[in-house]
Amino acid sequence: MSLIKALKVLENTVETVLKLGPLYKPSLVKTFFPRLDWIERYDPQYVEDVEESFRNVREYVDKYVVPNAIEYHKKAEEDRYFYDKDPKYWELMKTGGLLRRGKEDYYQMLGLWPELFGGPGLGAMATTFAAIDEMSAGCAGFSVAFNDHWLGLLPIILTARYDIIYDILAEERNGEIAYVAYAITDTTGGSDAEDADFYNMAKEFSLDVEKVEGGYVLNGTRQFTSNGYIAKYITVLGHLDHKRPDETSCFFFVPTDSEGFSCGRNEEKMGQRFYPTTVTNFDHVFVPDEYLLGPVGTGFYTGGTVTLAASRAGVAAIGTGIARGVYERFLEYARETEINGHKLIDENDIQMALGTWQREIHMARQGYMDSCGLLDSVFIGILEPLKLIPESMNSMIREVLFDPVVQPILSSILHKIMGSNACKGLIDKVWYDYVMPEDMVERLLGYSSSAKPFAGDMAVRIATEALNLMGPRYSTYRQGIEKLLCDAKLNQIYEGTNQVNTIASYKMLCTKQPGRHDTSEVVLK
Amino acid sequence: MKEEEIKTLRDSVREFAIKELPRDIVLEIDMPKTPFPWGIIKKGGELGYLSMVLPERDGGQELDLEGFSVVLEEFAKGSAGVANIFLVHNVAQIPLMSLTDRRMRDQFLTPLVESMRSDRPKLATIIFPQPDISLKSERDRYIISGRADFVFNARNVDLFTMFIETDGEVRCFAVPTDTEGIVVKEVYALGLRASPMALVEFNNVELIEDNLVATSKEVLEESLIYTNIGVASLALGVAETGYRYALDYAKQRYQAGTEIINHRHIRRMLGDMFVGIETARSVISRACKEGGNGYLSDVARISSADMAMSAATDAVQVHGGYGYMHDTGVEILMRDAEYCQVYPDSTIRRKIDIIAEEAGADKKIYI
Repeated sequence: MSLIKALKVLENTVETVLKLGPLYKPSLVKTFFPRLDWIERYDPQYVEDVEESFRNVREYVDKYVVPNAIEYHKKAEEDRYFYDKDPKYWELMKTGGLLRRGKEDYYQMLGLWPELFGGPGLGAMATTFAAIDEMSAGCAGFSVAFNDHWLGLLPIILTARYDIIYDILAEERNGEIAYVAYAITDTTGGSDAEDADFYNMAKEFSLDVEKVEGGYVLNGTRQFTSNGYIAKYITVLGHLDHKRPDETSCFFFVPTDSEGFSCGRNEEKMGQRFYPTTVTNFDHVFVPDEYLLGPVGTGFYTGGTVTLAASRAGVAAIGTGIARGVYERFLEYARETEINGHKLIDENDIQMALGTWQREIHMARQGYMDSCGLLDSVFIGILEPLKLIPESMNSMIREVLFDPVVQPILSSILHKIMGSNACKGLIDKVWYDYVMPEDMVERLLGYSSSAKPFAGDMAVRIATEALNLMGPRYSTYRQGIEKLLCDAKLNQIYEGTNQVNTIASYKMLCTKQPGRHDTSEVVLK
Repeated sequence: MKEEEIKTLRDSVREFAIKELPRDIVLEIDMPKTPFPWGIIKKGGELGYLSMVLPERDGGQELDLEGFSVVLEEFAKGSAGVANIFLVHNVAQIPLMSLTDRRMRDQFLTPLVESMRSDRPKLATIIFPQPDISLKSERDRYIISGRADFVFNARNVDLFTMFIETDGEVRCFAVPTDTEGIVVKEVYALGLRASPMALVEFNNVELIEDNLVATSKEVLEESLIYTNIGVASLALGVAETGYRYALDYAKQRYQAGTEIINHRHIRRMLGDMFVGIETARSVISRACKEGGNGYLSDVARISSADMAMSAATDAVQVHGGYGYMHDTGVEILMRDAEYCQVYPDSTIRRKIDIIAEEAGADKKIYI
């Protein structure tokens, strides 16, 4: 009797379990990123974030990016200053900026803002994979146009200048595009600003900084500022003493309506033309003390090394996305094209090519995912205290924070406190001693610098091979792979050339590798 | 040709190319909206570069493959696009050279030769067999319909020399571009933009027996040998320019305490370019000496085009951000090299076809 009872219980249990459905929930994102399956066991919310963000971006890409990519590629070649004249351009930027998870319907770039501020509160992995990788598969230019905003914001976030972020969020809430650009490149030495040693060894600098009463005066030029032409703010690297650049380095936050600031020419690029790359000129621009990010001497470390360590994962995602864009387009081409009475995709060399590309793209994705994971472990650390506030109170707090009366008063108080030297020093100490210690920065820089060149080289190689396989009859922008080749080449160059990145990987990972093998006995006889 | 003759020829073309193709002109003619470079073509025509392969008795230079290759290489060092204008024009004359009928010669070849030194030279371009073109013959008429891809200078020429392959038979037609039913659609091209590329639609174009200028596979093969050697020379010129730009820039650019030419890594990149260029040059030279027989002209084109693509990519890389910008003229090389890889056929596909033929398959006619 008891056996029958036990069997009955067992049967009921099995039925209940079966009703729950399969344990494994398939989705498109998981086919790209198998790691999500086991992450889901620990943090289902995180995986849901990635999937939702991916769906939003894919919808935008199919609807806006792919149909417009080649048009803007041509348009920018005809007029490299079209950006502020073209209403459709801003429409696209705004629609893309509205990709979000929260219910608040105001303009904001894809990203990491915590839900308390009405942002999506996504992790780096979600943002990077879904937003950058997916958007680059449509058009890398769109991807940089949105994500360069984050590059500009990173020095502000990393110095915990919540007062400045607060101002920017308030503007975005009013529907403005408060774009932040990032300017570190010297006219005579692009990659020097990517590595502390090279920075110290540079022969000449194109920007002078002078300390004056109540602030600093910037005088000179920055080359290749992505989005400089359309930005509202720029974060700029400078240093007080040309003989000791790293030791006296500072990072500034400069509104582009400051007196003396102007944009020089927009570069005529080979690809990635959806965003302008601008020469930015600083003619005795005065920057108040409170817009110096972090203490003097930490500018290069925070705004250069750590920022680039974080952003290179994103650039690796752009490269991976471009390669995937080529792969997807070629796949469709091979499925449709007839050759000797059968489909091209039935040929085994085409299958080998596609299989190889898919393998390489997968490997490249694992590379940047590891850096994203490292980043998430840091950023989740910062955002953790904010999660203590009950979610139901978020909207109430937001109402108060962004109230038109409260905002200016609170903002000016915050500026006084957070802009003070004492506060900057404290934040710097807490940040680098507890949240992001040197070891973390080194690993982050090492692994993101490994991911980026791999993805860039792969994208160029795959695009070249795809174009070659398609032959002359398809090399006429019909599939857009030509454009992807042009886009891909920049991925070998920006955020430090692949060579500089590779040296960074060596410095961060190889020199720290402990020796295990005794070589003292190896003597040639 | 003799060594000295080649050297004299090379020097004179080089002088011409350096004078007529300075960097700012090359940058300008690469932009899609710039008008066709008639000025340079006219000056080239005066010096005989529009009739390189034509026999001397017809008013040509009667250059052999080697001379042809040298001229195009030197042009391509300035601008591969401009070199390509001369390439397709000269190759288009090859089928017309074999014409014996006085009347047809006067109709098609003579205008090209006579206008060579005029203000607006008459140009021709070549169209190789394509799958989308169909040919019907009705009594004494031929009707062409379909679409031809990858036709250079289509809007600026007066004559298409057009190969059509049907059921294993090859016919070559001389089609004046003002024939009724021809629609030229210029496309936004990746490379070789100085010689604009177009799709040409043939809507039931009617031709008569007089338009049929050749019916033998040998003429097609001869044209292909010249095209292959020409494109190989273009690729070689592109790679050499890339190498020279990269070397010059590496000597100036200062980084990590020294000029980057002193970094071993950069030397390795430049070394790869150097070795690639010299290897390609000897392959092309051997192919020319042996008349491009067998697969030599294919091999020359395949190896130099692939080499040029990697050399140009590296040249941009040495320049860093500046290389990516139009103003330095290095990214043009990368785009041009890409087209050398696919014209007249994809290098990968050509290799596959060569081995298929080696294994006993029928000789395949492009594209």
